[in-house]
Amino acid sequence: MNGPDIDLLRRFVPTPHATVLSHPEGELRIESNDAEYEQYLLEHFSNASPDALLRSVEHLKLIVEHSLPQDGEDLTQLDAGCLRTVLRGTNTVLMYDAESRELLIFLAQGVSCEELVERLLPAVAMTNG
Amino acid sequence: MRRSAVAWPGHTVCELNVDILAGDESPLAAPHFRGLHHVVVASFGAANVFVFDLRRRIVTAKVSETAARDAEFWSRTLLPIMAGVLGATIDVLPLHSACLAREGFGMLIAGESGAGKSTLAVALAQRNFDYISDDWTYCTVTSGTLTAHGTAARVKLLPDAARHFAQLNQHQLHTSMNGELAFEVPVEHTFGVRLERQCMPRLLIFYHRTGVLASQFTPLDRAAARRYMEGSVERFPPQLAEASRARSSMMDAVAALPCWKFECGGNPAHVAQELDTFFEARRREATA
Repeated sequence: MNGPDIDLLRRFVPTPHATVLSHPEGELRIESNDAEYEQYLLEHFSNASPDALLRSVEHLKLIVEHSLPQDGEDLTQLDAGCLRTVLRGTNTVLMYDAESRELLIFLAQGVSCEELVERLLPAVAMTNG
Repeated sequence: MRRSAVAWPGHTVCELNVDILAGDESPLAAPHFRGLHHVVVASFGAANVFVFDLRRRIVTAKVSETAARDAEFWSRTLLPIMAGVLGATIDVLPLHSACLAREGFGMLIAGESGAGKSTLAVALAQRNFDYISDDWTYCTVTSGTLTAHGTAARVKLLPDAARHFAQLNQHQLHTSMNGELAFEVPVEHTFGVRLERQCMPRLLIFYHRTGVLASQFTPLDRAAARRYMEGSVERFPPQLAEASRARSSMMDAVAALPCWKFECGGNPAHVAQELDTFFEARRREATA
């Protein structure tokens, strides 16, 4: 009577591409299901250091949705205490928890690495610096 | 921003903060759900977004004026979604089952998707059962007492149900939340049956539709009930370990119910009659 392994929210997408970036104020763990994005983020944070966002995040998890197209340009932001959520359309979702220092991202197909770091990460960041 | 404390019977469960976008008349679109760690996001188009913080039990939303005005959406769509998403974080076990009761004596009816739980639930309600739910039932355990709750969500019936229920001919088929074409109708108005919000479940039935009219009831052990429940819910991530433990404890309470496999074929009225006879025998035993 067991049903299928259910993951409607896509919480358990494997993220085998992982790296830890050490910096003077701590560590940032980056993990993703997409090697290209993971490498781009690693290079971005390596070169941007010291960066306010880098100091505010300990764990960045990125799921690139290769079969879910981008569906809107406009950003929607919701704040609830230390949790900020930013959506681009509905298929790209970024969630940042300032208390647990986690940045969790679903990225729709076609949203570039450049847009991620230049537009979306600044929009979701709640930084002190 | 409108702030409310949402209360499930016996519990104050979460904080709900809703920002209504003045002048925005964007309609509610098809839902999209995503979640990582302790955060779940549900959007119904870009203008209608709900963020569930499962760690802090806070729900934050931005909605259009159109969505804000839509009372049916809040009561029959959002409330079940909230109960399902927050689930064990608010001490609620979402159970993939129908639930019916007679004089407070409740019966949970589980079964695989497509087994005919909803059709059977309506047929039982037409036999003077109180209707609690057809697909998802929300269980709580308070001071050791197991209670099953419904949310007044619309009953979802597949197109072939129209062969058995003439009342459906007055309704249109819609694409439901999981993409299936189905009738989604208010059960109390459509079928003239009694809708109740809660009961105390005393029986757990696993319904399996067969090709023969003869019915068969076989006792099942707790382990089988547990396997079904564990197979019908989403895994929790490690960040929600406490909720996972709470859910496991509530599953134990449900699995402790007398549990039977019910095999039967034929039309819904026949299946309901067979189950009704069995139910009444168990009810007499329990109340003797």
